[in-house]
This record gives sequence, structure tokens and C-alpha cells, in this order.
Amino acid sequence: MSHSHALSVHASVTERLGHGLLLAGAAGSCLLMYSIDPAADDSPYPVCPFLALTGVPCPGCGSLRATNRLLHGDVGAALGYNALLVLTVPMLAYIAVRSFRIASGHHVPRATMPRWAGYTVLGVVLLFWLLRVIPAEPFSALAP
Amino acid sequence: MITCPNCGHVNDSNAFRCTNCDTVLQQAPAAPGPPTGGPPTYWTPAQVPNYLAQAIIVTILCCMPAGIPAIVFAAQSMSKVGSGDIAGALESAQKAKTWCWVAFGIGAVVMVGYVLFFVLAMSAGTMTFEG
Repeated sequence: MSHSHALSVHASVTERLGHGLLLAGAAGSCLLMYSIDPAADDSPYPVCPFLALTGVPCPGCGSLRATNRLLHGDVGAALGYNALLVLTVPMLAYIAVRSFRIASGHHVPRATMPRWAGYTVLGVVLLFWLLRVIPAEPFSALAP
Repeated sequence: MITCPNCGHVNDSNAFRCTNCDTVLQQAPAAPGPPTGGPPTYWTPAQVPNYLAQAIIVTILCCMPAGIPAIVFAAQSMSKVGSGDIAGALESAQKAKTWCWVAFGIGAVVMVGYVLFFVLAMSAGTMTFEG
């Protein structure tokens, strides 16, 4: 990104195309995740390679089932499959709105985050991972 | 591109004189200013790319522990921006970007490979799946 972007009011054609494709891809994925139930016995989705190799769930395990439930409006079940995914929804919504604004020609400046946000996210993800592999109540509620 | 202030003719950005009316376009040495293209040679903290969102997405949505190093480097980069170490922040951001692509790549390969396997098995019709 060049300096001129900081001054320009309009997004470039490449930016608009890129964000448009991103939105189209996201919409297509949502449709797929809505219509195919990953929890079904004949689900065509693969098992997480990390879980298959180690027998231990990763921080992302259950996010497909959680998204499917979330798209059907069942927040409770989504939280049960992957609580972190539900936490990322506001961020995903922000990205979607931003991409929509850029795709429709607006210039949207890069969001600024406080310097501690990175390590906070790292801590939350690692803690979530640690807790969900503990095979005992109440931590097993976090398991996928 | 430089537009001649005298006649309005558009010249190459490195042109010293206007090719149309010969008006001097640039003072030598060229006045320092923001570069017109490519990556800036001087980065302000706000320009350091931040890959935290991408790192979170590959970790949670792509089901990839390879996204964890991406979060680590994104966090490191943000911390370095905060302490004014722009060069270090850029280096960490680059590593975060690389790890995002690694995690995304593994996820994509697994997904495509699995779907191909599923389709081949279905068309062969000889395999049975036991859940």
C-alpha cells in the first residue's frame, strides 16, 4: 500500500475486486456451511488433521459445526462446539462491513488496535486450548 | 507522472524538463516528499501491516494450530509498533504473514485432498464408509 492511499477517498479497482471476491467467497462458504450439516454421520467434511494425528482437539476444532449451528440461529449449540468461534463473530462482521464498503468504492482506513491486543488474543486462544483438552467437568464443556 | 505547471502537458515522473514547452519541472536535488508508488521507504506506525485478524481466522476457522505462530508474530509486531521499533515490527509482521499462508495452505490442501478422495471413492463405488 502506498502513501497515496492515505489521502485518496476512493478504493482502487484492484482493492474493490479483491474485497468483492472475498465477500462472494464468504457468502458461498456460509451457504455451504448452512446447508451441509457437519455433525451428520455422512458428513463430507474431513476431520481436523491435528485431531486425527494427535487425538487432541486444536483451538479450531468444532468451528465448522459451530458455524453451521450459528447460521441456523442456535447460539447455545454453537457455543458448545467452539466458543471462540462465537467470540470472533463481531470481528468477522466488522471485516464483512469493511469489505462491503471497500467493494462499493469507499476508502476505509486501516483499523488501529491497541498494542496489547495481540498478546491478549494469544493468551485467550492458548487458555481456551488448554482448558478444552482437560477431560473433566466443567472444562469438557469447551471441548468440541 | 508530472503535469507541467506551464502548459499542462503530462511528463514522465523523472522528467527534468517538460517535453512540450521545456519548462523546468524538477529542482535538483529532488525535493523530499512522499514516494508516489511502491512500498514507502519510511513507515509510520499506522502503516505497519497487522495480520492479527488473519491469524485468528486461520487458527479458529481453518482449524489449524499452525495459526498459533502467526498470532505470536502478529502480537510481537503490534508490541514492537507500540515501543517504536518499526523495523522489528515489519519483520515480525512478515513472519506473521508467512505463517498465515502456511496454515491456510495446509488447511486448503487437506480440504481439497479429502474432497478429491471422497469423490474418487464415491465414483469407484467399491468403498464403504463406517462412521
